Amino acid sequence: MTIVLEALLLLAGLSVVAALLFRVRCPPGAALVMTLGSSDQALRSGAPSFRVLSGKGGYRTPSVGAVDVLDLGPTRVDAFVSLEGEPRRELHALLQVRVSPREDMLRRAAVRVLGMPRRDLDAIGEGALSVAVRDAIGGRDADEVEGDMPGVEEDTRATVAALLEQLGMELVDLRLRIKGE
Amino acid sequence: MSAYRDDLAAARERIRALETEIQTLQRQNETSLQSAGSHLVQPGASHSPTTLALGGVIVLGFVALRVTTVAPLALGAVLLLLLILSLRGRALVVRPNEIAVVRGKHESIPTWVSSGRIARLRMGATAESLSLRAQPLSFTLHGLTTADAQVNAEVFAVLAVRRDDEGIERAVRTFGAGPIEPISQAALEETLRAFAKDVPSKDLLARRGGTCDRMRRACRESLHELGVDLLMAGLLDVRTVEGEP
Repeated sequence: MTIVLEALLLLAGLSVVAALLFRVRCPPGAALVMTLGSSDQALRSGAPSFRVLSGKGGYRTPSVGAVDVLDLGPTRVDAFVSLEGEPRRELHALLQVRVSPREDMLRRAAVRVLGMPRRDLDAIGEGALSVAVRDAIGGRDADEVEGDMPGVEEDTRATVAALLEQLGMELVDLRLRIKGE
Repeated sequence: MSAYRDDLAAARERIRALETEIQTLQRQNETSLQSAGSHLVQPGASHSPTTLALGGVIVLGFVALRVTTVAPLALGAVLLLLLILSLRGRALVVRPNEIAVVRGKHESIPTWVSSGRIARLRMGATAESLSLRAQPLSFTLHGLTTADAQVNAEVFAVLAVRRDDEGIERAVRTFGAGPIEPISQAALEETLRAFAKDVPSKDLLARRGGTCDRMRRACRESLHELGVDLLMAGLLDVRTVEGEP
């Protein structure tokens, strides 16, 4: 009887220590990406084996190979596009994006965005915004663009959103403003 | 005032070009400074197997002390556990954003392990990481010949290695574990030069929808063959080369 109690106490102690050791906290505004691995899994075919925990902590169980943090905070980028016509004016575009909290999008972001240097993310945002605005403007001059700002904004939004969706990100805010003389 | 505005626009273009150059150099530096397999981590980093093995030894030791008849059996179990651990070889975790490119000791053609897996390496095998992350790419095409003029075009694209098995196979064959940008840029340049030959310059300057869509399709098909997905591509700036009509 004593041996059983001692064994139970030992197991309980080991369990508490293991729980304390393997608890992983999730930083605010982030998600945990836990890469799982088991020996019976095909090495090539099939979906990647990982779990994304958004806004909550988890346990680093023996099946968890690595834990990474995915930043869910918004990113702001802007772009300036010169417009044709007199007086000279330019279009200022301000874009705010973030990783989408939807589970399928989080999984996509874990593949395409996780571990991306901030400057690469900024470069993608800026470049995508510039291309989208220029495509939306086409060959139109400043007056024509000014007369069709809702159309330009809608086209820009659609182009940027299509790219972001492939990265598991979403558009939070887009503002276009014509600046100049 | 107009000349001042032109200078300002030219300066801004120059600053953007320099920023792009700096980013490229920084990325090259980063790539060369990191060891090739630095993204792949050993599951031992999470301490789980080591801790479990220690836990097992403690429990077995405890049982052996209390029930002396099972002591030889417990010792045998511990030795067997150590033997199994040493025979399993080195294990590496392949994160969701990467592919492990594995080369055997005497194998010239690499194999690969998909993302979200544990890659087990036999004695003498090496593993490197091929990133699945999206990567920005921008460059200027000088003297791009269109149907009626020569233009300089600034190109922006977002690339990533394909996620399907065939795409990964092609990417591993094309890039190994190296960066995908140089070869992808060369492929894009070749495709754009071939495409622009039949397109009037005013269509590129005005970025007419149909022209841009055809251009993207051509670029996408060209990169698809290499195992790369073109997530976005477009022209940032198109200018007629000075002296051209």
